[in-house]
Amino acid sequence: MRNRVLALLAAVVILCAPVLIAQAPSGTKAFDPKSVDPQTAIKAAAESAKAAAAAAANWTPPRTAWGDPDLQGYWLTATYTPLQRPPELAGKAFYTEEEALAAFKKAVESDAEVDPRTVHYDWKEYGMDAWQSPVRPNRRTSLIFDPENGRLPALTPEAQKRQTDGRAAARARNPQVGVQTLNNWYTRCITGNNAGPMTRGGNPGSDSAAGAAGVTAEAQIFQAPGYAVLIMQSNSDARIIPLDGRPHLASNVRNWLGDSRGHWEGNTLVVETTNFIAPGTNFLGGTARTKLTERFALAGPNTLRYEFTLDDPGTWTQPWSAETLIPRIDPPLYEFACHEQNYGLMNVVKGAQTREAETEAKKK
Amino acid sequence: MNLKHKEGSQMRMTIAIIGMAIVAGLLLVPVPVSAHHAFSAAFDENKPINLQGKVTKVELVNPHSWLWIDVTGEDGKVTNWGVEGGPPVNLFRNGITKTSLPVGSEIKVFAYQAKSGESKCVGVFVEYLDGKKVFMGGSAPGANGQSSK
Amino acid sequence: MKVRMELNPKYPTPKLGGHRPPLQWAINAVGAVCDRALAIAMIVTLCITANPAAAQAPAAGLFPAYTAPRAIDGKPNLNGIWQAFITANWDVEAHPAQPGPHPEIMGVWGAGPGGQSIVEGGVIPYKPEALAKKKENLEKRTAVKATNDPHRYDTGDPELQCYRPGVPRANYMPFPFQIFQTPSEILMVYEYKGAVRTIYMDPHREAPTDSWMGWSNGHWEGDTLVVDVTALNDHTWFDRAGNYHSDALHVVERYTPISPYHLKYEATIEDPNVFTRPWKISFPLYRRVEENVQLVEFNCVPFVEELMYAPLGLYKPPSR
Repeated sequence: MRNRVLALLAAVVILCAPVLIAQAPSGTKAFDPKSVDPQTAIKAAAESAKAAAAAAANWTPPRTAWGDPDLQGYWLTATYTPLQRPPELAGKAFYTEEEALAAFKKAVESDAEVDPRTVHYDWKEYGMDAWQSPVRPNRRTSLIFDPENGRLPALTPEAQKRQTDGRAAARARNPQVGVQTLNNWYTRCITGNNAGPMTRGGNPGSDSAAGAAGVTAEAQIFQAPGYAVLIMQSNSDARIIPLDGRPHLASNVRNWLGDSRGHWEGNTLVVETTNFIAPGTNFLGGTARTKLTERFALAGPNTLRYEFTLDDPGTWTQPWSAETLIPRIDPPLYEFACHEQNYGLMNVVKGAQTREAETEAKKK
Repeated sequence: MNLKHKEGSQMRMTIAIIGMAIVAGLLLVPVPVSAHHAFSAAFDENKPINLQGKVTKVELVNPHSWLWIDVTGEDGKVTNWGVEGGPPVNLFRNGITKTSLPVGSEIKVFAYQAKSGESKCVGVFVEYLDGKKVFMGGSAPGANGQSSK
Repeated sequence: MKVRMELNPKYPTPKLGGHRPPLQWAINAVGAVCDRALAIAMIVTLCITANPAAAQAPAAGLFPAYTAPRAIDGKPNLNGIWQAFITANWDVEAHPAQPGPHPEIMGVWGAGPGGQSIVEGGVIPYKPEALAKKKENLEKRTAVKATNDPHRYDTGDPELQCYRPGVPRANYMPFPFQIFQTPSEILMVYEYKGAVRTIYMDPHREAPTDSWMGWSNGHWEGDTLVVDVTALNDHTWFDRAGNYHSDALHVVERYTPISPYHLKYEATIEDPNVFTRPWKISFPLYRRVEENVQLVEFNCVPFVEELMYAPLGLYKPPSR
């Protein structure tokens, strides 16, 4: 098999030499220093943020061949900025440039700290920490900017009751540990971890896998006349966005990725997504009434400004909005066939059942 | 087990499954989405292991790559261990391809065993016998092949 | 109304008997003229209806020469929603209608329609040992054996478990798909499972590893989009009848607009591990033309969780 692959690759190289982009296997490539040393990565990120800001100064937004603003390309949704403003930063919506860099440095160093006593993935093994990608520092102290305090609005009484009921059900172990109790759609590979808002913010200081969204945080925007398509690397989730003003699907037709409609407001693509199946924990506890509004606009040749608003009268007492600047990255995306080889789901459920059994045995 | 044994049971179809997902979703505590399933659910932090063996299969699939190695125990018995790794997307972006780790390579792994007791684990450190990293073992300055602690 | 074959010298006009030759001649003459007129009328009608531009449906392959409008890349515009209307997903070779699995539960819902082969020559050229494997696949096609073990793919039809269908099967699933076309990439999004394929036009790219939907590099030959698909893993089947391949599969697809509403789809399939020679399939793709037509999500993962995980004791619905 290997010889056949090499022969095929050789044939492809010979035939397509002018256009082929070769990828060297491990061992023959000198690894990008930014991806193997945190301090180098921190410096590079600071420079890249400066360069992006400078490039935005004197720049004309490009257009597609048919005249729409051109947002096409590949984008990195990873960030170390938390969704909610930490309490100690109350009242402070923006860092100074120095403070932003210091916060970023702290987050990266914490992320890169490897304690073999904890169960985790090591960035030195798998290259999956956010700082090993072109993630940039952010002047915002939280992604949420509305409400002004940078925190999620209060829950409605209905949502509070759902929480209480949920805790009671968990205590009663109903359902028993199984695939359904894993309410994370990503673990079940029903959707990727970017279904809905493209970014949820990072948690500086937590371990790399759960924290800074460094895991498969890439996305692609594809445009054709009358359409935009948003493809997330995670689970290869694709959202087709018609731009012709057609109505949404009937209200009884519910999708895991919702049903999206878009239109242009100047250079901004405004996308409204409804018809969600109840997102539950995947949208911080949202119900099927959730409406997601997103705004995409270039903020420079290599920067995309992404803003989203979640509006769910069944969960929050007011809609809330978040914003982040997203760096452009190189192609391509890769197939993310999550469900087709979901050993992880089986291992997690088996492990949870084992722990349950141990807990029950101890009671006796 | 295949479908032939399920004749007597009801085949719950679409609506029941979605209905349960909605119910379960409404019941659960809203928490910030973690981008990944919890390691501690599948793997046991009290069961670290060291493995060494020959690679029998490399699965560069998302969301997790899996390495399978034949490990010879002290009794001479060979067990095939599964080692869960990180998402291959990041590996591809760093130049790793399906030919990077040939079957038959001898590697050593420091891992945490699955809670279920099966011969599966999550690979924390994955190295060749000389200490060079299997995946991130490039020759760039700053890359060090040693474990950090 | 009988047409006497007077125009065909093989069938001479039978003479009526009788002793009144002048009247008989007159009758014959009028009859001959009428028959001739009828014959001519019928022939003219046949000529008209044989013209593809006329109202009646032409036989396949009789489309007049067609030049598709151009897309922004200056190439034929393939943007739109397309769907195949054949039964090849049940079996790419000729097949009768069948009850399907579990008719005692599913009745007609689970039954399969009959259909004609889309394989040139009718039959897939399997090697003898591979044909035996195909028959084994057919027998075990509803087997489900989810396991966290690398031997898990020794199961039945991967479609049953909501796995990605691979290429070319994705193009003849009974679901629409949408093509989005730019000069550098052509994107195909399939309603079935939201499966996505990117066809790299310029530049071409190299696959780092195998995948379910393979890796596609494309180029234009005249008005035909030619797609070279490699790096397909060995986990997909061509249909529900057990037709399969190895990871040496190599598919070359050709998409040619033949009318404003039809694409001609052809695919050459080669796999030296399984087949004695390359073989070819072809069928039309039809444009979906309803107003506001769109793909409606078909995410079948939740539909198969019980099927896959209950046998392992991992599926526990809430107690009532």
